[in-house]
Amino acid sequence: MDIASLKKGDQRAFQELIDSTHSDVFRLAVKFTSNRDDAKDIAQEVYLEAFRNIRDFREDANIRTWLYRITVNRSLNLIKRNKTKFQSLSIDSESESIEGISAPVQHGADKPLENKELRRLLNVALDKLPENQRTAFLLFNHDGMSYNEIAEILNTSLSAVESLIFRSKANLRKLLGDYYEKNYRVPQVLKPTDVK
Amino acid sequence: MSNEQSIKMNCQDFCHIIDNGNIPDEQLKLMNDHMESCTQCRNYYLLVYQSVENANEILGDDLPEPGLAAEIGQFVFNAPPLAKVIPMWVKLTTAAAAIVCGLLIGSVAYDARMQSEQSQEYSYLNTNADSEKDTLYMAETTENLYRSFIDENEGE
Repeated sequence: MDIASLKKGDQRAFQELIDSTHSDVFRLAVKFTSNRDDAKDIAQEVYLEAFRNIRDFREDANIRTWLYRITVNRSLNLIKRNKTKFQSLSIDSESESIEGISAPVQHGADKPLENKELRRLLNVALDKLPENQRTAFLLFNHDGMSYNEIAEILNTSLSAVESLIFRSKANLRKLLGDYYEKNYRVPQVLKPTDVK
Repeated sequence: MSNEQSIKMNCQDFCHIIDNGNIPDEQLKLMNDHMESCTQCRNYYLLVYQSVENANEILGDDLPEPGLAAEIGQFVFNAPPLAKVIPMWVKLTTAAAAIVCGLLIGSVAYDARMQSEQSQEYSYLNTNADSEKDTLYMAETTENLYRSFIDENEGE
């Protein structure tokens, strides 16, 4: 990547940067927003902000990490805006909670859960996590990003990232486990022969 | 237990291991055997363990549409230039200076108006002529009092 050309405002060099990184930015934005249209808007805003501030970019820094940081900030801003919007529209703001979503009627306890359903439930559980845990978890699950990269994007220490990811996983297991027990688990019926 | 074949591990132990988030190697075979016969525990594993540990696979990869890079380029290069951002301290200083200037101009204008009003009032008074009349009136009064006193006390 020719940083010098980018810093001069060379459009061809910047288009090359877009070509080589837009897929990663878009996919990360989708992970945060769960919406392709929002992710597309975010990607456009990310590169616009990068283009306007490229002159101040430190040459020793990683440009991809910088783009990821802008993506995370933009995504979180959008999520906050949407939450405020939907909360003001919704009479019952608790309707989005994982406890409030009932198991699909057609799902039988003896059928394996489908990927689509797992994804839906994981996204709902992720929404219940604190923002910093959710961010760290999603970055960790994006193209095998290292703890060091995540620490750089979140501007925090390595140990803080480890702690955030550990706690995010524990909280997700708790949320999903409780949800499963409540909505999917069928109570065991004891047979007369089982009782001694 | 939903199946008699899975007697080596019960659902409670299975879920307890999943809840801890760490599957010991020695338990792996037993758990696999249990999952083969217990769909509920298999689902529990998929949702609580697999989706958390392999979220990248579950969340999937939504690849962008082919033309997105060009679209982003067009959006970026055709965007209107950013309006110059004025720092907050400049805004506050300007506002304070405007208020001070306003007060100064206001006070000067007020003083000028008061002075002109006073001078207009004084323009109706002929102060020198009045003072002369007053002196004459006082002298006459003193003389009249003196004479009346003499007249009243005449013969004593």
